[in-house]
Formats: sequence, structure tokens, C-alpha cells
Amino acid sequence: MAMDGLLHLLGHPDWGREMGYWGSALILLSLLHSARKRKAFAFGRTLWFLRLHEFLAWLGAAMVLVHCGIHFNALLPWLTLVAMLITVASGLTGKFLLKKSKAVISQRRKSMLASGMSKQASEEQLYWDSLLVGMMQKWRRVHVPITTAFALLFLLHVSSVMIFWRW
Amino acid sequence: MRTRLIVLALLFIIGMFAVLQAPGIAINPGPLIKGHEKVEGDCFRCHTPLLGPSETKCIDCHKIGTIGAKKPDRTRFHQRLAQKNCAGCHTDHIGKTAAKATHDFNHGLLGAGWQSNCHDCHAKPKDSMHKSIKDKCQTCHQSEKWRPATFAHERYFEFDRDHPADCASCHINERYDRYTCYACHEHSEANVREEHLEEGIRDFEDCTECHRSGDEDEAERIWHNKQRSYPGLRRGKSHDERRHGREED
Repeated sequence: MAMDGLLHLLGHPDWGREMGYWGSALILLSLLHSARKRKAFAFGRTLWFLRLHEFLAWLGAAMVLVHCGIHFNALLPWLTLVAMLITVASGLTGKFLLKKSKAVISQRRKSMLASGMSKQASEEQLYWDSLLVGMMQKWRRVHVPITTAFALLFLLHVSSVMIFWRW
Repeated sequence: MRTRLIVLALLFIIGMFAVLQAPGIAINPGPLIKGHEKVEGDCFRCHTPLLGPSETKCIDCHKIGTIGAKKPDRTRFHQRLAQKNCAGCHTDHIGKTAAKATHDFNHGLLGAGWQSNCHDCHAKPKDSMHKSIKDKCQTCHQSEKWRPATFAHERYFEFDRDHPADCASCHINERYDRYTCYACHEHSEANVREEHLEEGIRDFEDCTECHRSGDEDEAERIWHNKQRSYPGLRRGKSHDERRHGREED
């Protein structure tokens, strides 16, 4: 908010608007993780895409926060922002649960390494195993609808802007 | 998966319907400026779907011929605009206390002929420096901003250590349409006359015609070039004699 206020003071309110475009693009790009997880393509390691998802979603959300900045007018953009923040909070919860799950099954890693599996292959296998732990499964049941609600509000916000915007 | 997509599409359509029913709640970026209160909430009065606000809709209400008619003491320049680009200067949704025009005026929007006719809209500054200057504002000022004003003095005479930018030394009484080199003790009328007549130069009244800086060699080169261009100079005709001769031709 302070950042957007500063941009307004410096006479660059348009930069704040553009932050919204770029932030949204990064968030959309972070969804590559979901596509990779659902085997939409086979390129790259799933774990790498998870790290990319975490980083891009975090950075994109920060940029969108600057974009929202000091504007307190219409309801829909604020609902979209709230949905984004809930999604980010949900994502951070998932990250925490994943860490916990990994701890639960860390014992399995030792046995994998003992059986001669490489470190990289064991990391990949652990990631998939961690998703199967009960807590993670429950979390995914919540995270996906939250993200869908955010996506819907995001689409409504962008579409309504497109209707009234001068291109 | 397909059911989910259908539900999402339905929710989106319902959402868009709600947005169009109450655009003020859904998208309004801020209250309108003073004078537009009457159309607050009536978004499509100014916005065309998918095209945004258009000049045509502005002009529907603000007839160009009548803009400024209520303020006879102000210059009516809207009628002189070659391009109709309302958003070039005006915006909205910034509240009732905001100024009507929020962007700097782009003089490029003015029609041909009006751009160089500064005094038609702007009063001439009354300070002593501007008093002696005639209608060539563009020599110093840019149309984007009045300040900073820059004058390329080197086009007439280049300053140096012996000829510093001390305006009053050459421009007596702040008259910038004329100058004198005789105000300095180095150049008296008598010694300048003597030096030039020695070289057979009778036309030496307008010093900067040849002396563009303190460099004597440069002045000599310019003089020789002039001799080649105007053979009359060889015979030592004065400036007035040459000009008179050209007028007769």
C-alpha cells in the first residue's frame, strides 16, 4: 500500500496498474506446477515446479498487493484481493503441512538411500509420498476450491475492467 | 471435471451479469469529478462496452463550440484543436475536488497555425527582459513547459573567458533585440574602425556577422567566405550599400 502511495506521489500511478498485469502473469505462470502434477507435460522435475510455484505465486501476489495499493472504491477488486490473500495463506499452510509430512516419512528416505536409490530420485519419490499423507490430502480438498474461487473472482475483475477500459 | 467447468462458466456468467447490473459496486475506480455528479453510476453514459470512454460521448454533452463560452475572460482554445483527444488532458473518477484537466496541455493537439501563435492564448510577460523581444517564443521556450527556457546564444556569439555571460555588458538597458561591443574597454568605436579600415573592411557595424566568438582567426575565415559569396565586399561596400544593391536587383 505504501509502495503504491509512493508511486502516486512520484507521479507514476500507471506503474501500480502495470504491477497488476505482471503480478497476474506470474501467478498464472506458477500454475505450471499444477499442470506438471497432473501430467499435462512431462518436462522437468515436479519438485522443481513446486518451488517455482511457491516463488512465482509469492512474487506475483506481492506485485498484486502494490497494484491494489491505495484504492478503496469498488467491491469486486477487494473481494478478489481477499480471495488472493486466502489462497496465499492456504498455500503457506500447504507448504507447512508438506514439511510436516516429509518429517513423518523421513524415516522412509533412510531406507531408500540404504537400498541404493539416488538422492534426487529419493527426493522426487518423497514428494509424491508426502502428498499421500492424510493431512496433505485434506489440505488439497480445501486449497483447490479456494484457488478456484480466487480464479473466478480474478476473471470477473479482469473481464469487468476490459468492458469499461479504453484500449 | 466437465461438470466443474460448467459450474464455473455459469458462476462467471452470473457474476458478469451482476457486474453489469451494479457496475458502481463492481468496478467504479472512484467518484466522478465536480459537474459529473448527475451521471454518477450511469457508466455507459461515457463508456462504450469494450471500447471505454470515447470522445464522441464527451462531445454529445460538451459541444465544442460552446466550451469556454461561459468564461469570456479565458481563451477559448478547444475550438482550435486539430485532434479530438479529451483524455489527453482530462480524466475522471478522481473526486469532486480534483481539477478538470489533470494532464499537461499537449500543444501538438492544436491545429496548424495555432502552435506558433503563442500570444493568442498566452499573455506576453511584462518583465523588462521580455519587453524588447518580439514574437519568437520558441527560440527559448518549449511547448511542453515554460521553464526551463534555454537560449542558444552560441548561434549568435559564443561566450568565453574574455566574453562571459554577463548580459548587461552587451545588452544595455536589458534590450535583447540589440547589442553593442563598444561597452567594453577593449573595443572602442575608434580602435575598431581603425583596425577594420586598415584591412579595407568598411562594413563592421554588425560585429557578430563575422565575430561569432573571441577567435580572431574564425572571424577572418568568415570574412573571406563572405567576400567569395558577395563580390561587392571586395570593393569595400558598406552593409547598407550592399543591401540597397540587392533590393535594386
